[in-house]
Amino acid sequence: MSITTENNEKMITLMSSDGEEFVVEEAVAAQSQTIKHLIEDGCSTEGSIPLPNVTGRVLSEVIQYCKKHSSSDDKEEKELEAWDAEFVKAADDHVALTDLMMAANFLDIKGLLDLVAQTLANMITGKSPEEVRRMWNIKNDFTPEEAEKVRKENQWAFE
Amino acid sequence: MDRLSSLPDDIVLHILPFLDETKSFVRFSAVSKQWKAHLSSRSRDFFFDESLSPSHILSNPWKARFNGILRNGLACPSLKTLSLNRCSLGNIFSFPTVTRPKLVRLSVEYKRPSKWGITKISAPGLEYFSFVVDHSVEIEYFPAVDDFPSLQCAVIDAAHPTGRFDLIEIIKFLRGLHNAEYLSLSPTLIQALSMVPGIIERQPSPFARLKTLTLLENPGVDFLHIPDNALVYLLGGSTSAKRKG
Repeated sequence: MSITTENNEKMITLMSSDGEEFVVEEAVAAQSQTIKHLIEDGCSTEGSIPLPNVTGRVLSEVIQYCKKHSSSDDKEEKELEAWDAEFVKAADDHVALTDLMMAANFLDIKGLLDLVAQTLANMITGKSPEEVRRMWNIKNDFTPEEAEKVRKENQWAFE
Repeated sequence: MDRLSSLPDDIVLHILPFLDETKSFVRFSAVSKQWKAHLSSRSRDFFFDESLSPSHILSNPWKARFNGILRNGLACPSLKTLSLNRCSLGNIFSFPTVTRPKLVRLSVEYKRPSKWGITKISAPGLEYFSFVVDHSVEIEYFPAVDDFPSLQCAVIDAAHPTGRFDLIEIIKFLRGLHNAEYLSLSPTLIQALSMVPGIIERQPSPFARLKTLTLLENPGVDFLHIPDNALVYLLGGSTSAKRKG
């Protein structure tokens, strides 16, 4: 389904995994390489574009980011950086950030992916392996002997 | 709460290159096998290894750094980790001096006889320094290292078992590493230190902050006992040192 606004902007409808619909300008949606390719392949002409991996909550954040980044030009780089910083701050915790990152990965939005990756990297810097495991429910799959070996090899980094 | 049951590879691979702190980078090999595999295989991406071609480099932050190295010699000023692995350095770059203000990890592994490349290393932010020369290779001199004020860990395996080397060169080299807290040395290097009596006895111990001295394993070198003079020289400057290995 494509609608045209008063400013002659072509509109695209995106549908989240939980059935929420978002109507956005094509230029905004095309910040996502994945969506851009879908549009180019003509997938947007029949109804909405389904995004089965992205929930409505996450999609609305992604759209916020894309709107900002499609409307700003290079001259506003400083302002955009400040906006980005606020944006990731609002995402609140590592679970929300990881959801956002998975969406950015699926939708192929490089700027957002790098932004969130940097934020998460900063967040885990200085943490212990155990803390990192707890953050993401990662299973410690080392045997006690293997764990000891890894520890020994990198002794200096643990103290 | 929608806690994740697993973190997809794609996501891990994107986060890791953004880690700036060397300690975190190294420590996270202990998170899981997946992380360890990524950290060791990805860290090859920083490596300059003659057997690797740029097509191995996939991830963007690393790619940019790597291309930076290729394009400008070593002129990439923000380079944080550099591994020169199995390089006959002269063939690729001519850089007698490594000066990198932001470099935090530097590994040099040298496996082939050829004219030695690096003469001077200056990297005030360096935290990890590894210098490995294959035992089949005789090097004529050690690089001059500037004071590394942030140095935490040094791994030095660089003395030919029967090679001719200048003891004063080694002493000067070790003096440059005086801030190291974790030091790993090869038996051959320790042998070299203690071989000429009367020299290291007159040298002050360079390592004031040393916490751990680890003895590396050299294949074919049976070495159970560190000579007393070498022990005093290496550990004498530090009150908290303990020996391992």
